[in-house]
Amino acid sequence: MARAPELDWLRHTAGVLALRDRAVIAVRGDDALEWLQGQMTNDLKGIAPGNSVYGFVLTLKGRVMADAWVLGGADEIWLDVPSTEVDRLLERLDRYVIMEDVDLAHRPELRLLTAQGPKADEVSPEGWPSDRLGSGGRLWVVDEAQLEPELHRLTERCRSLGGGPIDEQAWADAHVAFGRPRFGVDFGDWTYPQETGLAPVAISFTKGCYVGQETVVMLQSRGKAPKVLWRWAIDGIEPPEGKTPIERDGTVIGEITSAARLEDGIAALGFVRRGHESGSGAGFVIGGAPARPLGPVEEGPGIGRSST
Amino acid sequence: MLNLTPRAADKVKEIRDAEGLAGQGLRVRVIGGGCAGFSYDLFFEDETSELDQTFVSHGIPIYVDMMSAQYVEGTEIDYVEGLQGAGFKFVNPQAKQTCGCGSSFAT
Repeated sequence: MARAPELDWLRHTAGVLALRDRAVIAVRGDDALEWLQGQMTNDLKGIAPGNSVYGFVLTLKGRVMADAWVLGGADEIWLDVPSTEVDRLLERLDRYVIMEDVDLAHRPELRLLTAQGPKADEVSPEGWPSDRLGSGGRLWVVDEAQLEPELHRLTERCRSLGGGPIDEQAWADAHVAFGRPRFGVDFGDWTYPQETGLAPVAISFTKGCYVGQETVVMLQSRGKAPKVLWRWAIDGIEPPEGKTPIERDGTVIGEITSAARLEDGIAALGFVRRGHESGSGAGFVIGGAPARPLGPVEEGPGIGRSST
Repeated sequence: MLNLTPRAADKVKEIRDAEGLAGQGLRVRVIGGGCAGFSYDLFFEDETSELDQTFVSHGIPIYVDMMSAQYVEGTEIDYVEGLQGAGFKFVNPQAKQTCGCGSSFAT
């Protein structure tokens, strides 16, 4: 269970952690930005050193291959991506470098630190904006040798603001509590971008073409996504496992992707199949326990739409 | 090898003359991006390099760099007009998939 102070820090001050499941890919060359614009779902136009943009890299068929924070730099652009996807991403991205002046490289010596919460910018002014829970955030890239000293420095700074360190379990639980889906847990190459609920922060519908865009536009203009992530409250004792069915009046209408035991009960994220989104909110059962839908991720606090 | 249809060649000449670029060739390039992964790029150019393949189709010099050439070998470029617009259309035998607007393709 996430300890109360950690969620309070993330909601009201700031919490610090090393993002040990993320890695850095460097993109450099005269054509880097223009080329990358054709690979990402969000608009990178005008990105400058110190700016960041969140988006997805899609498969050719329009599913989410990875999420990425694009970090503008003076000499090269950095992509903050899931560590598990580095090799696949390098292969996928390199395939679309033809004659452009673009070089791609994994930078394993670079590590990522973040502060999340409304006072994240006060922890340290350098780095990039990176709001990962909907309450404000900042990201720093450091050499591996500096990871622990810098984590210590940022943590002490955070404590002086009334916050503190966030451990891995609390970080995972915070995503459920805030309603912010995680790549590899709640979405991945089995989901279309609009299914994640992250479209408002990850997709530009006016930027022009990018790999996988046609599927995204068709989903947007011709109909609804096959399933959509929702936030749930469950009157159970233990958090349900991933893939636990969501039932309504005896019919399976979706499945859980992640869950956490919070101070005020069990919270979860889970997909609802198209056609089952509406209704009074009664009659839902998850893992044998009564459950209440709290609303779609897209309208929730995880993307800054309302308070937790 | 890459060809223009007579209609496409006429349009290329018309545009080239209108822009005062008489004598320049047509650069055909493949770039990464676009809905289906790769996109076509066309522009006039008067310089070639040793890495270029050069063709002449209906009097229009066509330049293709060696990397792009492997993606457009055998392509015919047509010019089409319709109610929804007009433009150059690529008929590429290597394209296994194209996007709706036809400006990008996958191999």
